[in-house]
Order: sequence, then structure tokens, then C-alpha cells
Amino acid sequence: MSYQWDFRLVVLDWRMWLDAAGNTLLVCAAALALAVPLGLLLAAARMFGPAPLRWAVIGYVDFMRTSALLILIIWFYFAFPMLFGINLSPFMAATVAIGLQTAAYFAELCRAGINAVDRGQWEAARAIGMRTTTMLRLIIFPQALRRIVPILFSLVAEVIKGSSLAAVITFGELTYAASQVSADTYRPIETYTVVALIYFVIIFTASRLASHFERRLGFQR
Amino acid sequence: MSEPATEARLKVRISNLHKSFGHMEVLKGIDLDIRHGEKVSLIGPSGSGKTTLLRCVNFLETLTSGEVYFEGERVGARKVGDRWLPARDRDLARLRTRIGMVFQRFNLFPHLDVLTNIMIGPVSVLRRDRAEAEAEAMALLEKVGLAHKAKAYPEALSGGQQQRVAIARALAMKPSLMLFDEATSALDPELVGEVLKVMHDLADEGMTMIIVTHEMEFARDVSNRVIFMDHGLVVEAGPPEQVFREPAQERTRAFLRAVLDKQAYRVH
Ligand SMILES: Nc1ncnc2c1ncn2[C@@H]1O[C@H](COP(=O)(O)OP(=O)(O)O)[C@@H](O)[C@H]1O
Ligand SMILES: [Mg+2]
Repeated sequence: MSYQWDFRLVVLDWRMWLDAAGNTLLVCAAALALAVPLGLLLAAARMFGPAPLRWAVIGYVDFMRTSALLILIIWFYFAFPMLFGINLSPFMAATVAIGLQTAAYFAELCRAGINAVDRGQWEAARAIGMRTTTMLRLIIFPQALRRIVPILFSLVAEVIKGSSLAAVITFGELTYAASQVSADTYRPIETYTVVALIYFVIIFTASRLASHFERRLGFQR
Repeated sequence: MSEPATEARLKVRISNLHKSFGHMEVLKGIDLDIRHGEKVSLIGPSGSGKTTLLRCVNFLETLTSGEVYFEGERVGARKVGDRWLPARDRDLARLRTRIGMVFQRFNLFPHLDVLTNIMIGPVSVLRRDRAEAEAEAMALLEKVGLAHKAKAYPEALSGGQQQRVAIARALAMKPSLMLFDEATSALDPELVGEVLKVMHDLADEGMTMIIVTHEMEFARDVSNRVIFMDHGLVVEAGPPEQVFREPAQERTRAFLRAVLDKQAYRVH
């Protein structure tokens, strides 16, 4: 095998790669901005809401967790506008699809983190007369957070990888950009090597930042 | 029905208390009155319902039937007009500020240092001034001999130290009743003494205490009354001299024999 590597054409338009990477980060940030608050609400409803609400949340979470993200993205881009008469841009459709699915994962993550706090902690807090809200705020959430935060960052990595599926609805993120470059340059091997490296750099940086914050916030204790 | 006046003179009145978990009846009709300042030891084999009884007093367990009164107030229920409704979160919280509980497994808050473990109740529940609460917490730490550990985290303490902090945490709320659920059972033998000493001091100060314990010597020394439970019932109750020296029931005798054998074995 003596393949002649040639990256020149592929990296020529580096601004385009930068834009694409920016779009990847943008759609991930937007999806997380939707997923985190929604996930918290879902977890709260599932744990402390009245029974019908709990069942609704369980249904939602199970449905979202068993859906293929690619199908969700396509559905929000093509089916949703036809059903509801609201057109979503590729960016919006990807944000909503990724955000709604990630919210379900995040809700489960929060619930598991809270349930993992020892029963003795709940009882000790109640025994000194804490009301439920005070107990959750001062005793349960801080301990749950230590379990949630590290896993949240691996969820972020999943979101970044998942965002590559937005290429199918022509959202100009990294994977879509790669398909364009590859078609223009006839250099698919170099193109996808470059895009793989960019993903690696983004996700690796995110995970380094994550462990930095974990340490900074004293989550190791 | 007894009149409220009787209940008011009592610290705790437990009347015909039944408690089931699913189909399993764990408490089968407990009647027990505890006077102000009294120290009552609950003894009995594992699974006899001692912990459950203790937890019914501060309503960590709901009652299946019967009633518990604390200082004349019905536990777990509130009267609206002439109907009894379930107590609300805030009613239970208020009740529990007056009842301290010490757990077998300490249950200190691991994310808070020792001083904060003790202050958090007074500050966040009783809304006490932070500086005052801190001074009182330090005084309590002094009292349990752990002032030098104020800034330590629970994981850095021995079991005996953790339990002493847990006692201080309960006392910080200025309770008028203390519940101890096998406070020394999870400790290495050489650490039992330091915790029993703190409990002994507390008893000497006049605190009303309900103590679930396997430390028979301690029970004999501090209690006004020893209650032997088995299979969810009070089998025998009386002053320690009587229950320990001349138990009336065969089951009590058998239990004491077994426990004393085991403790003798532990010492030698
Ligand atoms: N939350 C619970 N759910 C089901 N069974 C329980 C629960 N708590 C206690 N039990 C059962 O009730 C019985 C009495 O338990 P417990 O009060 O802990 O006894 P003791 O403290 O005397 O050892 C045991 O058989 C125990 O398994
Ligand atoms: Mg027990």
C-alpha cells in the first residue's frame, strides 16, 4: 500500500472548517441549553410529581431513550412542519431533536444520582427537622451533584458525536462540511481524517475541561 | 380515651401501636408511656421491632394504627375542625426539631465539615443567627471532646468520633427527647466506651432518652426502665434490677443469657 496522502486541497479552506466546527459547537450548546433545564424538570416531575405526571414522564423518557436520534432529526425537519405548519431551520430541527433526547438521558441521570444518595442521609436530614425543600437543597442535591457532574460530561461528548447526524438535513456542521469537501476535492480519505481529528480535539478538550472543573469544585472527595 | 391532661404530663405516650410492612406485622399493639426525664432502654432480639418502634416516635415510619403522642401532641396527624388529617411536611419538620435521633450508622453529612454538620440544623431549620449557632456548636464539640476536629470532614473521623459528632448534631437542636438506635453497634469494641460516656453524661443532665441497645451494663446503669421486646410485642418491662436480675418471662431469660454469653465471649 502506498497511498499518496495529500492534505493541501482539503485544508485549503480552513475558514470553512472553522465555521463548521463553530456550527457543531453551536448546535450542541443550544441542544444542551434545552436539555439541562428540561431534564431537571422531568426528573423533578418523575420523582416528586403526582402519579399521572410521573407516568407521562416515564413514557416520554422511555420513548426518547429508545428512539434513533437520526430518525428524530429527520422527523423534526420533515414531518413536524407538515403536521404543525411550522417550518424549522436545519439548526432548529437538530437542536430540538438532540435537546429532547438528551433531556430524557439527563433526567434519568439526575434521578439515578439523587436515588444513589444513601437513605440514611434523607433520614438524618428529616430527623433534625428539615423540610423536604431544605433537605434537597442542602443535603441531597450537593451529594447527587458529585455523581451527576462527571457523567454529565460524558453526556456532552455523546451530544457532540450525535450532532454529526444533523448533516443529513444539510445543517452546516463538521460532518456536512466534510461531505462537501470530500465531493469537491475527491480526497475523502484526507477529508475524513481531518474531520476525525477535529472531533477528537473538541471532545478531548471538553473532557480535559471536565476533569479540571471536577477537581476545582472538589468533586473528587 | 385518656384525657389530654394525662398526655401532657408525659413526654411520650404510645397507645395500641400497630405497624405493618406490607403483609408483615412488625409491631403488634405497643402501649408505652414515658415520663419527662425518664431513660428507657429497649432490648430484644434482632428483628423484634425496636428500630421500627423508635422510628414511629418521630414519624420516620408512618403508623398503621394506634397513636403516638409527643408532649401531648399527636404525632403524624393534625386536627382540622373535628377531623384528623395527615400531618404536612412542615408539621412533621416542626415536631422533629424537638426530637433528636442518633442512628446506628451515624449518617453524618459527608459533604460538610464537622462544625457545619452541627450548625446546619440550627441555622437552616431554626433560623438561628450564624455566629451564635457556631459558638454553640463549638461548645457542643467541646462537650463531646472533639473541638479539635471542627474543620475535619466526617470521613477523616473514627466511628466513635463520628457518632459523638452525630450526638452533638442532634443536641444542637435543643431537643427534649433523644432517640438512640443501637448507637454503638457499628463501632469497634474499643470505641464503644467514648460514645457511651457521652450518652451517660446526657442522661445525668436529665435528658429524656429512649435507648435501643445491646449494651446491657449500660442499660442497667442509666435506665429507669428496661423494656424487653420480642416479635413486635412488649414481653416484659420494669426497673433494670428486676428485668436483669429476676426476669419474669422465660423469653427474657433466654435472651439475656444469649446476650451475656456473647458479651463475655467478646471480652475474653
Ligand atoms: N422498611 C421496611 N420494609 C420492610 N420490612 C421492614 C422494614 N423495616 C423493618 N422491617 C422488618 O421489620 C422487622 C423489625 O425490624 P426492626 O424494627 O428493624 O427490628 P430490630 O430493630 O428490633 O432489629 C424485621 O423483620 C425487619 O425485616
Ligand atoms: Mg434495629
